[in-house]
Amino acid sequence: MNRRPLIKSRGFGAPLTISFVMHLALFFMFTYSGLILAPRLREAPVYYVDIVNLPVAHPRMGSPTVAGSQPGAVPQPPAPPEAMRLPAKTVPKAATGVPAAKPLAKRATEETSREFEDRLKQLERTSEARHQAAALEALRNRAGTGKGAAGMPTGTGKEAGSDYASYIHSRLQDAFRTTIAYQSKNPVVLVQLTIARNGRLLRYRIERSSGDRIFEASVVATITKAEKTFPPPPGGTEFEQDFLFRPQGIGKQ
Amino acid sequence: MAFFAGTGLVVKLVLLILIYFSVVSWAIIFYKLLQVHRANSESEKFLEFFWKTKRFDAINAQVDRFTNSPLTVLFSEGYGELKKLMDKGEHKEEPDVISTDLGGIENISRALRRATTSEITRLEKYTTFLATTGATAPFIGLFGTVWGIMTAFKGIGETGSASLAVVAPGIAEALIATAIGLVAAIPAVMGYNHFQHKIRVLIGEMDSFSTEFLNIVQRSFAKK
Repeated sequence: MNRRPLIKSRGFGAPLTISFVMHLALFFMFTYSGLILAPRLREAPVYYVDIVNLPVAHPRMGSPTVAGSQPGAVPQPPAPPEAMRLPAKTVPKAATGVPAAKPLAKRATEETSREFEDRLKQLERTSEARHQAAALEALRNRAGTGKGAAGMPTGTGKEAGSDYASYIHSRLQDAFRTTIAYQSKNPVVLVQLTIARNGRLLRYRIERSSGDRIFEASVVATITKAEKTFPPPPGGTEFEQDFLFRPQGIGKQ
Repeated sequence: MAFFAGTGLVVKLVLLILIYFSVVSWAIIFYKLLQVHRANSESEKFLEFFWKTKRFDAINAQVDRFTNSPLTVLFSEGYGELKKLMDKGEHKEEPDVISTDLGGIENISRALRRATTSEITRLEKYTTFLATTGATAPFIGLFGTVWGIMTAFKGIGETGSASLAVVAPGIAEALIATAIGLVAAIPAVMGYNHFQHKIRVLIGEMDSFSTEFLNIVQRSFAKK
């Protein structure tokens, strides 16, 4: 009896392995080229600038100790200009008369050309120096103590954490813009934040609320979003601060 | 990997199914390409050898050289049936002659038809998976996309913000499912159509060979 020829039945394993390796290679190729990754919108870095002093590098660093922050470092106004002196009278009293008037008139004419310009420049410098001194004084008065607290709401500018509350406030403000939602007319939520020494949000407590649940949820979302960006408080201590959330913005209490 | 980890459970499942479909489809494409190529080339060689060699027993001795050709199987089945009929007539006066009255030709024809059917089944094996992938993968991907967009909108509702930063990543992750569905389906459909055409050509060759084989048997062995 004749037998049917045995058909070589090659296994399916080899093509399957080739296919798997091919898919793996394609996956890594696309992953490294960034083609199959979802586009991530990167937020532009936020820079906080102390408009009175120099830009703050980091809130942990405290206020920059540069001119303007320390009483000793405040630039002194320039020395007041010397009093204007009239030219010395060289003509003797006895010799007063018509002939003596001629050299005086001649000197006066020479003075107008050179010395008058010098005086004018001196006067301008004096005026400018006074303006600068007045502006510095006004800024010191606005800052409160006049002891380097410019730009810093509470501290002296050198105290640890003097700028931290403002930084946290800014981060909350940024997050609040993307999460704000409310249904009542003027919702208000007062929240107490406690930040641990390592910068993690230890707890938050809603101390007062106008009862708008959606606004409360958006405040919680704000805190959740912002807490990722909290740095550790300076001085290695816990930080506690009340923040008042309103649709118009966030205020510190 | 970070992208995959960022998707939801349903979208992950959809992506895994689609990747499975794609991997298996490409494996079938490679397998069938090799199979059909060998079947074509060895059938060509076998036909050349068949028409050069006059004796069936000499051809039967060499069939092992063309194991990937479906025509070899047909020849073996037809020759086997012919041999049986001839062995049946050994005790008669004319041992090399088969009787048409007893339906000898029909027996051989039936054997050839059966062999053709089994070869078609062998050649078409796995191609249904390609058809299934081509038909269903886009819909599976679409399902993943719809689910992903639903999740993204839910997230928008929870955060209360409809900014681009919130909406865009979710939508992009969802659309990946449709893209992978299409990536799996397009080669599967192309492969399926290609192999269907090649298999039809081979079926035509098998039909022609069966007819030629029956003609030879009838001319050479059937009682007048």
